[in-house]
Amino acid sequence: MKLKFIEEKIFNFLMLLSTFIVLAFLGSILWAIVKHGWPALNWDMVTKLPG
Amino acid sequence: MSTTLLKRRIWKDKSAHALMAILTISSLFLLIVMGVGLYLKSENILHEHSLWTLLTTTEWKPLKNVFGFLPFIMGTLWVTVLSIIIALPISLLTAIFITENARPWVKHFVFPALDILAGIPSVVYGVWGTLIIVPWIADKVGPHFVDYTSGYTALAGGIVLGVMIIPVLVSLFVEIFSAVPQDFRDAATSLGATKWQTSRMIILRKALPGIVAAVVLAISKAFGETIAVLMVCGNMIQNPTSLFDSCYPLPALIANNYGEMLSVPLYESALMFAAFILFFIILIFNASSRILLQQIEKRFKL
Repeated sequence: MKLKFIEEKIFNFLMLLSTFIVLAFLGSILWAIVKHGWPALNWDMVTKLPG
Repeated sequence: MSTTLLKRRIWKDKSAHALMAILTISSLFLLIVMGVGLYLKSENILHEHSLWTLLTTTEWKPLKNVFGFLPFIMGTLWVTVLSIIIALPISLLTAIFITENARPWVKHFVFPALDILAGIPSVVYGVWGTLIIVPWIADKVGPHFVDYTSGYTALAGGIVLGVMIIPVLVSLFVEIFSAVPQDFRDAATSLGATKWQTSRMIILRKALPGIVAAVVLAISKAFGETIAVLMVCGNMIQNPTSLFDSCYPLPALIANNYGEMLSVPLYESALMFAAFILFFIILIFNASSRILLQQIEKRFKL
């Protein structure tokens, strides 16, 4: 009887963890893009021709 | 109702039926045209080398007229299998959580996040893989297992592809689990089953054909993914023997080389043959999964 509640708790934790991992992937992608992209942003990009 | 009106309705019905039949056949016809087209384009290389030699040799030297596709096939398989191993458990548990356990506000938060993940272009996944996953494997994970790795590995490809197919899998799983009638859950709960037991014994079992179909769809997507994989796999022509080896999947081979070195005899034909292999693998895989689905439905009487 106790076993099924332990199992329930373990899988509840794993489900939460999985959901968190999915959200963390999104967060990581956004963070990586913003972190590396933000310093490169400037007005010259949109107002001047390349070269 | 007058006879003229009745005749007109029957005529409309028949023409709509005929139109739909023609459209269905033409979509099948497209598939055949693609297959035959790729085969005809790769005929030159098939005349010069035996199919067995092309599929089982590992040497790739176009200038010496040597074309071995095994490293590319193995690279594709490594990356695809890894991506499914990574994505499947995460997607299943997330989907069960969303459909069975999560409160409404959590769903309102998670669904848009999944939509964003699904909408991110694959080249951005590639950039993310190059900026985050590759250095992580090179500096943190790799040194625990191998002497040296550049980070551009089959593992990196598997992780990036896995993340790419997670939103597809979760969305499909959520749809499939939501379609299981509520009565089943109520019956299980009334017998004293916990939520996880209900999910494991009722929901997952009932949804098994749908799960298989979703996985097949995800694998097909993973097989053909090009840009992200091309950016993180290292693209070294070798048979990968571990997670930390570089690999060169078939789509990356085609994308990297098409339009290049076309003066080399048979080179275009070789690339078309690579496309044909990819096409054939996906075709066989989808067909066999259909048979598997029928077997599952029969065995579990779903």
